[in-house]
Amino acid sequence: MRFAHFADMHLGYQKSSTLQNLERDALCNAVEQCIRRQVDFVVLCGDIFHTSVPPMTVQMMAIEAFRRLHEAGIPIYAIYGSHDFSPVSRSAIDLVEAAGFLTKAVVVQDRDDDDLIHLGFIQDEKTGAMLVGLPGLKAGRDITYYETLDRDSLEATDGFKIFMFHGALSELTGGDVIGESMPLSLLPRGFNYYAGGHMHHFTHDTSHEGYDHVVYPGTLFAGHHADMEESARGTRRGFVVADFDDGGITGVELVPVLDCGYGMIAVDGQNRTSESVNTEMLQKAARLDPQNQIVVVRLYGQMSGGRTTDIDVQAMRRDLIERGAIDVLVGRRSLTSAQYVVKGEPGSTIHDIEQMTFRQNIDAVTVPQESLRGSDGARLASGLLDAMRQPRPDNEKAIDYEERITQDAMARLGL
Amino acid sequence: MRIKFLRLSNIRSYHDLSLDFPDGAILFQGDIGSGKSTILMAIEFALFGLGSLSPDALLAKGERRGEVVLGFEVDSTTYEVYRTLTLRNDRIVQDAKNTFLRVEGIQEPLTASDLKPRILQILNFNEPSNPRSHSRVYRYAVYTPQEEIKDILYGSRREETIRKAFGMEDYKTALDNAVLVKSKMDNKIGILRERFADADRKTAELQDVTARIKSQQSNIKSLEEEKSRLDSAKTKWQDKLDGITNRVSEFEGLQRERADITRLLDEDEARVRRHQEDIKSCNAAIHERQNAIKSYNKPTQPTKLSGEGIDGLYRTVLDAGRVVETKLARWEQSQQDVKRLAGRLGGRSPEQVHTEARRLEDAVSLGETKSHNITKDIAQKRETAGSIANEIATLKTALGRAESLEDRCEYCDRPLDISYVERLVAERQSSLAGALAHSDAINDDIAGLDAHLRDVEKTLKHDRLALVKSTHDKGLIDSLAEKQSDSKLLERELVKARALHVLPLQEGFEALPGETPEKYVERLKGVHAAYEVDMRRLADLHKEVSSLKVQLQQSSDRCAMDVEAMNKRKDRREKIDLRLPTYDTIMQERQDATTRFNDVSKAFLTISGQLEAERARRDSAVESQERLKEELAEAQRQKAEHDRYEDHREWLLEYFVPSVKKIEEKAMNVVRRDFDEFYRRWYSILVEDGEKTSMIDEGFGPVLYQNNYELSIDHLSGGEKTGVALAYRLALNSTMRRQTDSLRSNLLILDEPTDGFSRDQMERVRQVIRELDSEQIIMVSHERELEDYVDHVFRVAKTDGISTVTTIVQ
Repeated sequence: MRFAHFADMHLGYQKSSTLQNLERDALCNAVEQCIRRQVDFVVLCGDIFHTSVPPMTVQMMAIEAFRRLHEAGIPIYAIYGSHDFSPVSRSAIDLVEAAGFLTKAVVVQDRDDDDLIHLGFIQDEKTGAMLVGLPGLKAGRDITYYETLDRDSLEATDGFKIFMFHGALSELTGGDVIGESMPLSLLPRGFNYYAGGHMHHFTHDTSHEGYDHVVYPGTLFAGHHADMEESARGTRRGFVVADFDDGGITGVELVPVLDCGYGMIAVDGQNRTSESVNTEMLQKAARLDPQNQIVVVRLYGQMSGGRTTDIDVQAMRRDLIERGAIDVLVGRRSLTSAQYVVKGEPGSTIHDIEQMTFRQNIDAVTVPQESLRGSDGARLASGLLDAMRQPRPDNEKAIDYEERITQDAMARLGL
Repeated sequence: MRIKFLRLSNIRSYHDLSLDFPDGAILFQGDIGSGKSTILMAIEFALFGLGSLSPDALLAKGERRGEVVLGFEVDSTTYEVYRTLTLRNDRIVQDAKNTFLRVEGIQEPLTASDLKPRILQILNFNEPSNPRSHSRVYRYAVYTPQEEIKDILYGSRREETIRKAFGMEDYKTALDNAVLVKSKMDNKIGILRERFADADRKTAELQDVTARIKSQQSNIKSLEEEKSRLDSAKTKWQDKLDGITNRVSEFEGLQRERADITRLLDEDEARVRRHQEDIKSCNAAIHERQNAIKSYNKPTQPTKLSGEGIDGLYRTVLDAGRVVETKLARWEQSQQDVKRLAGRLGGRSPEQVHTEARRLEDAVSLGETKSHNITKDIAQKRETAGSIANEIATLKTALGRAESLEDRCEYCDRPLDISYVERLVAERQSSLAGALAHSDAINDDIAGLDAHLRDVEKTLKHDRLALVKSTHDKGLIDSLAEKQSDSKLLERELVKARALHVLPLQEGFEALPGETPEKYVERLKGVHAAYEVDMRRLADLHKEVSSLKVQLQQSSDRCAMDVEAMNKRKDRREKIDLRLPTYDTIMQERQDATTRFNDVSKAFLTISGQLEAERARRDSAVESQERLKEELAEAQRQKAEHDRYEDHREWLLEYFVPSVKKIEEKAMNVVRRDFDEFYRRWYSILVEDGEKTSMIDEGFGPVLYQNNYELSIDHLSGGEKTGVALAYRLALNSTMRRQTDSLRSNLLILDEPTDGFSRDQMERVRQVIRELDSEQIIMVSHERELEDYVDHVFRVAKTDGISTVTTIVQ
């Protein structure tokens, strides 16, 4: 017996048409492989959609894919993730469920005698596998669910049991906590397979007693730009196919879905000029063979001078696309320029800045002339600036203007 | 800036609109195409003119004239802009005459082209006034037409416009001008440096000169001492020489005196001799004169008359003599005339002469009568001869015609009888012969008369000549009688004259026999003259004697005086001769003293010359010293001025210019930072998507990130795009209002600000309006939902192509 485990597809995340196409390809490819590998059912562990109500095109794409599985006789069991759940409005998942292509694996059984959450199993007809899940919520609020979960009744049930969840586990992140996470111990023990979502890279953990197989398939393609960055660094992407028999899990395999490559260009701009960063970036791009690749460009650090806009990513992007790149992703949010870092309180006027700058710099003036130093000197500079910043009126000849301005300036300087 | 009212007349779909704008948030709500945007377009047109707008698009179709009047307020001052469009020569143009600005109700004297720059000035929009475009600042910060939102998102000139709007270009101008000022300073510094460049050389020169002056002063002192010594020596020798010279003068004086005395003595001797000779000759002359006097007896006087009296007597005698001569001559002449006239008459008596004359007069009268009558006859005969000649000619012609007639009448061509013709010829020949005979007789008469006349004339001529002679003779008879009478009168006068011409005898002076009065008086005159001469000679001799006696006395006196003087001179000469030997060595003394004096003087002059030269050198050196001191002082001043310029130059280059550059960088950064902050705030309000962020890059462009990776604006939904554009505009508006010194606009106009917004986003507009805290916000939208968020609502509707505005919520 065999089932497929998907999570964090983030359908609708991609904004550019090339990446949207890849998103679609990944989904379609995964569905086809499920059918070809004759999986008995599919579990979807949250963040199927990037938002609770994605654009219509995305909903259509998903419904088509899920219908294809449905028509192939492969049932789908799903839970909400953090992105495709909305406490105020319905989710696109509800739409797919309403269409009959998907079953939500969360059955909450209210009891009046305690404050605990009591969950009920769903049994897959064909394989008899018992599934139970808790939905992911935004901002890690699902931890309170787990804290009040009636684990005992779940642990007490017999059979091949799969626990579906959407959230990070402290033990698996290795202390490298990104956002909220919860301890594994909050999950009920003794399940055959813990089908997780939320972690975007493939993880198969068998090291914790009582939790035989804790598995995150990771995202199919990318639910975040960092995913593509990771992919570029070598992270494999796909979905998980698990085999089992009466004795439990017999194999867990990550099935890749896309054959596109990734290119990476990273430039540290720390204490360098924008020109130097630009040069390095273009050199690195030139060395790259971008054919059928998604090229991820990362620029970071605080430059000593120049503007971030001096770096001509558009030209590089055009060049890479021309040379066959699927798409080029540019991350330069963390690239800054010291020249443009502003200290001090916001809200100061240009006039204040002028006064302040003249005052700050006047201390360095060491000429013996009293009138050029101290507050007199700063005032003089201010007046001189006012005299010399006057633009030339249209009706004045250049030579007259220059004569007038210089005369005025010299007069102000007392020369 | 706050809009107070808008009046439209024939603008696009508006026929006539008058709208007061309240403060607060105003919404113009209406369906698409109802005329909402026209209101915004009209406001912009009123403020900035046509710009890129076509006038055809503004004037209502089919109308000839349209007008926009906009009232607004900036800093409590009210302004009203009037702009008019007219159809002229099939073209719609702005009517310059009806385009003007009123400030507080007073029209400013502006041309239509000045209006836009003036409005920019009022609004303090820092941008160039290009008549071909709208105000870019207005377009970015106040009002952006919905279709131009894209320009904000992709605008290529965005940064330039924003830089200008915030006066950043001014820093560039200031820096450019600083270069000019620096170059002016460099120039001046160069000039000043030149002026004290040789100060060191001059200091060395001054030291040299000062040292030189010191040595010159010491030279002068020693020269002055030497000069003083020589001067006293010179004085000493001069005094000595003066003494010698005096004595030489004495010596020479004595010598001269002695020579003079000797010469004078010689002269004296000669004179004494002359005096003695004079005395001798005087005595001789006196003796001679006295003898002469004795030789004269007493002379006799011939008459008592004086010389003049004798002359008068002589003139009387001469006159009388001349009268006698004249009378005599005249009388003798008259005698000769009488004799000549009597001769010419040839002895004829006067009666004979008169008879002959009367006879000749009668003969002449008769002859003249005869001549006249004959002449008259001849004239009559000639006249008759003329008539006959005419008759002969007529007859000759008639005969000729008769002879030429053949057998026909010459007038009627009637046949003629030959006999008739022959008779006619004969008749006419006979008449002609008679006439010719008559003519000959007449001519003979005339010849006879002519001969007679000639005889008569000859006689007459002779008689006339004789008559003239006879008449003359009658005159001669009269003249002779006259002359005879004259002669008698003259004879009597002659006798009278002779009686007056007699001798004037004087007593004691007898006349000589036959002596004429003239001769007598002449002799009297001679004798009288000789008497006079003798008397004068005698007087002269007496006078000469007395004069010679005086002369004699004088000569004697002078001689005595001269002798005395000679004696005195001799005494004096003897005295001199005694003194002269005392001066034997004086000339040698003088030569010696002169030599010594000359030597000293020469030395003195040499020293004086040296002293003057040294003093001149010293004076010149002192002058140089003064000049150098002045020049050095001037160089010091120039250096001080130079240093002052250098200080200012350093200040300009090391402080001012870097500060301005820093200010430019800082100011732009601060503006950008503020802008970025405003933008992010508005963006976060308008676009709620946790993973999408947006910020303003260094080029003032909005950038979008999805999970920190850049996201093209193209990948945004319509609502998001509108949100970004709106956030950008709100940020620019807010930033400009923060820099309120340079921008006073606190108006915000939003054209379809919610285009593409979801219901959620729409709700955020309420928050935007609240947070903007703008005095006036004008919104145009087709969304009715916005009506709940604003203070005032105007409903715009179009019926039959005419737009109207209704106040819904006031």
